[in-house]
Amino acid sequence: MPDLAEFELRVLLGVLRRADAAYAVAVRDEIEARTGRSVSIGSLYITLQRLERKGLLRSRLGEPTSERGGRAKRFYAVTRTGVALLRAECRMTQAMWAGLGLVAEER
Amino acid sequence: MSAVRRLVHALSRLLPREIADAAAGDLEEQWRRDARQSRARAAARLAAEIPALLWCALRSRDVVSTFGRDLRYGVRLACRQPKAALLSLLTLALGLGAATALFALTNAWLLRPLPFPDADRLVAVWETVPSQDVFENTPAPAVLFEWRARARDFDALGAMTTAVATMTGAGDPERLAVLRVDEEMARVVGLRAAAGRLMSVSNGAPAEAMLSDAFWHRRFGGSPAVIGSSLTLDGQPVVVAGVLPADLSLLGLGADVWRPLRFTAAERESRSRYLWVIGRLRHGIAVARASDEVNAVSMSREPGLGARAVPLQEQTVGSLGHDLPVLLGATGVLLLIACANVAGLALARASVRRREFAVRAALGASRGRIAMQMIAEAMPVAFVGGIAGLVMSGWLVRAFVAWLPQREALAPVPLADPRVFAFGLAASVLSALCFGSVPAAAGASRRNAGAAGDDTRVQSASPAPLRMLAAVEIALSVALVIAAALVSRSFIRLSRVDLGFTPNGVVTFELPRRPGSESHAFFTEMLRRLETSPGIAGAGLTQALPLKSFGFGSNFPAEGVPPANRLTLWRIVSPQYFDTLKIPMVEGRAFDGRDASGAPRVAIVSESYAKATWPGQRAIGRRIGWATLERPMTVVGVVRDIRLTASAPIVPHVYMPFTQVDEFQPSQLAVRTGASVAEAVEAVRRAVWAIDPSQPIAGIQTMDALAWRTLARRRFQLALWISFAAVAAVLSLVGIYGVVSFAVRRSVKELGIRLALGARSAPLAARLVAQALAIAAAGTTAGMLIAYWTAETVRGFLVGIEPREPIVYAAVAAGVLLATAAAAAIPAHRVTRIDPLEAIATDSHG
Repeated sequence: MPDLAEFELRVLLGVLRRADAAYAVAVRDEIEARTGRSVSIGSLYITLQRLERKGLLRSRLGEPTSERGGRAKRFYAVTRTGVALLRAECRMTQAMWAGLGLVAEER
Repeated sequence: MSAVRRLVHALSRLLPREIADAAAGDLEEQWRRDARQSRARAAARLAAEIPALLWCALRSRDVVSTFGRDLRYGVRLACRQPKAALLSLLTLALGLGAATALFALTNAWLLRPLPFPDADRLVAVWETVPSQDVFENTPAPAVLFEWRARARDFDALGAMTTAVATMTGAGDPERLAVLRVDEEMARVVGLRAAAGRLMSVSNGAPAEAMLSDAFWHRRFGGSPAVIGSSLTLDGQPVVVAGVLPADLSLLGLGADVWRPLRFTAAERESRSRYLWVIGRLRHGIAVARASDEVNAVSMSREPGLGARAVPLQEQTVGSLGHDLPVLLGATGVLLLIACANVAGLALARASVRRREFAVRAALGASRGRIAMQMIAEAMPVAFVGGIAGLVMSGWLVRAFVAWLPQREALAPVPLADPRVFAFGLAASVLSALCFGSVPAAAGASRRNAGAAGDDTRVQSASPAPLRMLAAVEIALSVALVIAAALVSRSFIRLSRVDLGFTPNGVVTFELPRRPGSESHAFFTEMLRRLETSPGIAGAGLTQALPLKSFGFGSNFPAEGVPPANRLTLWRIVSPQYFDTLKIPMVEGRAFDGRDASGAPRVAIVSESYAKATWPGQRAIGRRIGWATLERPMTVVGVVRDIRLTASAPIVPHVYMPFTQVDEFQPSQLAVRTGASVAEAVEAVRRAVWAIDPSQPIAGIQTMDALAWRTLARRRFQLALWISFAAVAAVLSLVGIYGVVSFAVRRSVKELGIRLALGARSAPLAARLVAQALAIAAAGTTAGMLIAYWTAETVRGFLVGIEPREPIVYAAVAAGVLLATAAAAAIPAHRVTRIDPLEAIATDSHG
């Protein structure tokens, strides 16, 4: 299984969190709100495309809407491979963090 | 729609098809959402998208990875043809090095501010005499204090003056150059100590001095122990307060020691013009306005006089402020020629690769793709050439600075400056685009379409782009050569200017008497001894020799003539002064033994003084005064005018016998040698030390050397222009050579057939030369037009000649055509050695 870069991981999780309507602006808002880092649409698309090529995401075109100047949205969803990869990633990361107690559990 | 929005939408159209529409929609959505709060913020956020969008578009089209592949291919190509690559590289390095060096100098001297606080508000303030074209006269204290009292546009006006002092008590007596600065000057330029502390400049402070960094290192090895110790200057103890910063220079007045300048009540009234003034403008005051104000103050004080303020930066770099941009432009032209040359080389190679391109085009490569490949292939050579150019620019800058006259005035030139690097990098990328795009355009042209199988077509000339390049090179270099020829002509004329005296065979000495020590009897006795010395044909004393010192000017009113404020230089001289310098007497007599200390006061005037004061009348017997007519002098002789340097205008002179002037002492001796310089120097030493063994003898120089030095700036400009022109000419001749030898190679088959059919080879060779001459003629015509249109830019480098002298244009045109014929004849001659049978069997692309 391929390793994921930091930003790729965030994009995958962002798509997952907006599973109902995961298009670029929504994913971007999700990442910005949770990480506090600003993200540009252009760089988001570079990563979305790469993840789609890797088979971790799939996409479909929605209906055009007027607020977007009559252009359609492209909705993304995490594939089964993607979900599996995220699980593995999460386990690895948790294993590395376990018992260090650097960050108090927030929830 | 705003410009940013339009740009972003245009960019989004370049994205891969499947996301282009969605991304455009996303950006639009984001914009509308942000714009509801703030349009400016929305636009800023959209602008921040541009780099990522560009990158996304480039990546998706494989432009980036393809470009990288082409770059690597370029490196391999260069390695396969090392000789051609090296030639291109050197040519480029030369062009880039010269351009980068000139940029580094421009950056250091014109773009960066001077190292003073609020440097942009500092101005040099001069007195002017408009009627005599004098615009940089040093003002007198009386004028300075008038400015200070009445000019409101200045925060402060600082004054300084130069002096000399003899240092004793620490090894050999040494004569030092002293710069005296007053309290306001210290404030204006923010004077500070690099080591130790600032000397106290205010009135009543103890005698203190500061050392220049250079003198501190030269004389005391940079030892901190000297700070706080005491030196003996002119017999007085002076405490060394500290050392000045190394880069400190005020108007280029170099000095070993800096001392305070204070004015007594009497000195404030002085009308001797010996001050240099730097002022600080009040906040928000334009230089022009302050200049007008100070001019009005001077004019109201004394009609005929004026004043002006010049930004200190402009004053400090002086004529370099005009020269550097022009020279930078010239190196730009040189770089263009270098690019054209390298483009020619690449083009010659590209046309050998025509079949490769044709095959690639047939396989579906777009024209843009092939053009891109050519440019990418150009990059490695340009990049390495750029690095070599940067290294070379370091040497060039050092050579330039070492050569430059009056370099003390200028700030040091930083080479490791980000702006210089950026310039070098941008210049190399631009030149790669420049010389890569020519073969790119040719390589991508439709005419290649049928070239895949073309090896039989007979071509009798080089391809049009190659001929065009050669013509462009010739045009640009003709423009440079014309400029260089004009500068040379001006220099030759300048070095032949009649100075009005004969410097050849004269040696000069400086004999500063210690203040307070007896001087008239010493000099009289010295001259008496020199008269009888073998090896000396004549000896004359003055306080300021031409070619060496400007001296001081004053006003010399004449009795019975309405006062005219005319700047007149004065010199106190000994009787043989005129004979020694061979300044011819026009009328009357020279000074002699009659003009002793108590005798009636006499003067000798120069022709221009006499003509301006008593037009059409005899000058002998008339009476003039020094600044006032209180103690008049009778004119006993008229001498020819002299120029202080070859490029200086003629200024009226008044000469007075040194024995009759008590306020000033002569300090410079000119000796006309009988046999050799060494013998004359020896004779002077013997004569001086026989009278006073403690008298220092300094500044031993021949007047020829001084004349040579006064032309230093001109010689330097000449050398620069000639080297530019020489490099340009060589490059463009190489270009012509390339065109002809390419034509010979390409048309071997045709020529072979013709020779086989009985044509003689000489006319064929002549035809090739004629083709080259046609190119050169077109280039030369264009070059002369360029030179004609840009003539005004070189005017600053010329003295006494017009920048559009037809004779220079004609000579350069003839020279270029001749050189072209010669450069073309070498490869054309090869035609005569073609073996028809072999030629017909040749693959003309080989």
